[in-house]
Amino acid sequence: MALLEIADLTFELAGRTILDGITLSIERGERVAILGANGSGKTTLAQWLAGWLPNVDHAASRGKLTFDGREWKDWPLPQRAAAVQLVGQLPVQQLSGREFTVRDEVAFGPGNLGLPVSEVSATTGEVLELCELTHLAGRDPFTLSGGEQQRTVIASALAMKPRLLILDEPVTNLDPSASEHIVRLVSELPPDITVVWLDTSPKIAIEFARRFLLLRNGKCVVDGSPCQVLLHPESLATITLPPSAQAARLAAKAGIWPDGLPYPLTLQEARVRFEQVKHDQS
Amino acid sequence: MSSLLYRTEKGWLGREHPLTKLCLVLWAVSLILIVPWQAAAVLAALVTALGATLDSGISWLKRWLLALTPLAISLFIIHVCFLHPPDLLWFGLIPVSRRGLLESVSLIARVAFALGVFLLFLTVTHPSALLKALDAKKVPPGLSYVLASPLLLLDLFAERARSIQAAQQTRGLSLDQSVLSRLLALPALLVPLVTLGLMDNHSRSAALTGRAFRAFPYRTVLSPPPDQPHGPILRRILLAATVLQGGLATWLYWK
Amino acid sequence: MRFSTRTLGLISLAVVINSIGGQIAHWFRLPIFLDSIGTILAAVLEGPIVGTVTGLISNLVRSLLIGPVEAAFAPVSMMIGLVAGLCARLNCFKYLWQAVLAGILISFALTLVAVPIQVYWFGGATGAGSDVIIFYFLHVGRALVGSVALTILLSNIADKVISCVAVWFIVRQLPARLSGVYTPMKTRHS
Repeated sequence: MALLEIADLTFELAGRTILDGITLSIERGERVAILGANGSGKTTLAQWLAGWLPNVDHAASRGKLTFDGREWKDWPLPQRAAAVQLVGQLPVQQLSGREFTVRDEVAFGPGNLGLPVSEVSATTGEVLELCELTHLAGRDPFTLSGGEQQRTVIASALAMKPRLLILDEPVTNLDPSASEHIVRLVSELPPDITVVWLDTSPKIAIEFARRFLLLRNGKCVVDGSPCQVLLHPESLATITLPPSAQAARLAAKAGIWPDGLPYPLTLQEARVRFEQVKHDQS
Repeated sequence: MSSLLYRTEKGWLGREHPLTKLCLVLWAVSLILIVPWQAAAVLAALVTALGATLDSGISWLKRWLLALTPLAISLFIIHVCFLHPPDLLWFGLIPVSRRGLLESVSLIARVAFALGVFLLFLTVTHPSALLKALDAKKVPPGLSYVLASPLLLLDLFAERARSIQAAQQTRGLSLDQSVLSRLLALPALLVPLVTLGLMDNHSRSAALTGRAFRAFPYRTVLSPPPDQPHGPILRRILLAATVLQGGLATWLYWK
Repeated sequence: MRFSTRTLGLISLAVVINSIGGQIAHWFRLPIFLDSIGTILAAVLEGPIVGTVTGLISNLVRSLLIGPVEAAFAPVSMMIGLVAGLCARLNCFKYLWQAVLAGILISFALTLVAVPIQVYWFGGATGAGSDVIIFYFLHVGRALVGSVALTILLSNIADKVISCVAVWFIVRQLPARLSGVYTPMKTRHS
C-alpha cells in the first residue's frame, strides 16, 4: 500500500475549481517535486497532503485522499500531527506565537503531544543541531532573520518526527545563502522521511527529487522522472527550466544542439553533454 | 521584546515561583481593602524598601513613581480642594479640607501599596516564566496562548504599521492636513494592517493545529520554573487568606 | 465553551491592534485613544462572548506592558466587547449610521462600568490628563460621581464612535474568504 493515495480529488473554492481530478500515489521514502505556476493549485494541494484540508469550512466536491489507508478525517489530531508536517512560504505565519525562545518553539509541537519531558528535550536538542540552530536556541523566534526563521519552522516540523514532510515554496522569500542552508538540510534528511517539495521552478528540487509532477489549472498533467517531466512540452510552456537546460534549449534554437539529445537538467549532466556536443562539432 | 516591564532579577524574589508571586500579589491587594490607612502606609513603605533591595530597584522605583505621582496629585486635588468644604488655610493662602486631606492620604497609601506590589511582580516575573508555570499546572493551553501571543507579535505589528504608513505616504497620504482629513486617512493604514493580520491568523491557526496544539487539555513544558518546597502550601494559604480578606472587605462595605 | 484556535488567534490579533492603536492615533495626530478598536473588531467578527474575552485579555496584557492600573479597568474593556458584539449579533453594524449609534451606545455602557471603578477604587482620579475635566466639573458644583461620569463619557464618545466606524469600514473591505469564516459575518452574508 502506498503511503499516500489520492483518487480523483476535486476541490472548489468560491465557485472556482482549484483541484481538478487529481489522482496520484506517493510511496514511503520518495522524494517528489510538484511544480506549477502561480495559481496552479500547489498550495491547496499541499494543504490536502498535510491534512489541513478538509476542515470544518471546506470539503472536497469529489474524490478522496488517504494516508496509510485512512482519510484525514479518520485520523485523530495527535496522530496526524506526528504523521505529516507542512512547511509553507512565510515562516512568520508558521511560528506558533506562543514561545519566547527558539528551543521552546521547536519543543512546542512535541510538547502538545504530552510526551515525557526527557523525550521532548532529547528530540529538541537533536533537531536544533540538525538544523544548525543550537547557537540561536535562546533567541526570540520573531527577532530572527527570514532564513533562520524558516530553519526554525523546519526544525519545529522535524521535531514531530513526521513520516511525510511537505515543503510549499519554502525558499521563495529567502536569499541564496539561506536557501542553500535549507536545501542542504532537506537533501540530508534520513531516507525514511518522505519529502514532497512544491515550487514554481525545478532549480532546487532537481538536486534531490527523483520524481516530478506538473500541475496546471488544478490538474496533474505530467508525472514521471525529472527528464520526462521537465522536458515535456507542457513543462517547457509553463515553468522555468534549470539554467543548464535553458542553455541547451538556446543552443537547440541556434541549431547547435543535436536532435534527440536530452537537455541536461543538472550541472553534472551539462558537463557531459556539452562536452559531447563540442566533440561532435569538432 | 523591548516593551516589557520585566527586568532580570537574581535575588530571592526573582527565584520564587511565578504562581507564588501572583498569589502574594492577590493576597496583598485584598489586604489593603481591610486594613486602616496607617497600616497601608506602613505597608507601602515596606514595599518601597523591598523594591530598593532589588537588582532592578532603580527601574522599579522610577516606574512606581511615574505611575503613582500623577494619580496622587489628582487624588489630592479632588479630595482636598473640591470634595469637602475647606476648614484650614495652608501657608495662610490655600483653603483645604482636613477631611479631604485624610481621605486623599488614605487613598494614596492604599493605591501606592497595590501599585508597588503589582509593579514588583511585573518587574521580577518574565511573562514566559508565568505562562510556563500555568502550563506546568495543566491550565488549558489556550489561556497561556492568548496571553503570550500578543506580547510576541507586538513588535512585528508595530513595524508593519510603520512600513504601511511609510508606503502610504509615498503614495500621497499626508498627515499635515485638517483633523477630518487625517481621520479619513485612517483606513489607509488600518485596512491593510487588519487584512494582513487576519491572513496571518488564518495560516498560523492552521499551522498550530498541524502541530497538535490543544490536542490534549495539557502540554509538556520544557524547563518549567522550579517550585520551592514551601510553594504549594504557601499558595494555598495565600489564596485562602485572599478569599477571607475579600469576604471581610465586602462585609465591612455593606455594614 | 471552547474557542477554536482561529478564534484564539483573532483575540491575540485584536489585543495587538489595541496596543498599537494609541501609536497610530499619535502618528495621525488625532485626539483619540484607538485602544479598543481591536476589541470592537473581534466582537463584530465573532460576537459578544469573544468581544468580552478580548477586552479582558487586552487589559491583562496591557498591564504587563504599561502597569497594573490597566488590569483594574478590565471590566470596562469587557463591556466594550460585550456591547459591540451584541450590536453585531443584532445586525447593527451593517450601515454607517448603525456603527455611529453603536459607538454612542458603547460609550454609555462603558461609563456605567468605569465610574464605580474609578470612584470607589481610585477615589475618582486616574492620573491621566482627563482628570483636569473632573476638576472643572467639581469646581462648578457637580458631585464626584457625576463629574467622573461626564468626563468618562465625553472623553470616550468620539473615540468609540470613530473606532466603530473604522471597524465598520474595515470589515466591509475584507475579502469574503477572510471575513466569511467568522460566525456573525456568515449570518450577514447568508
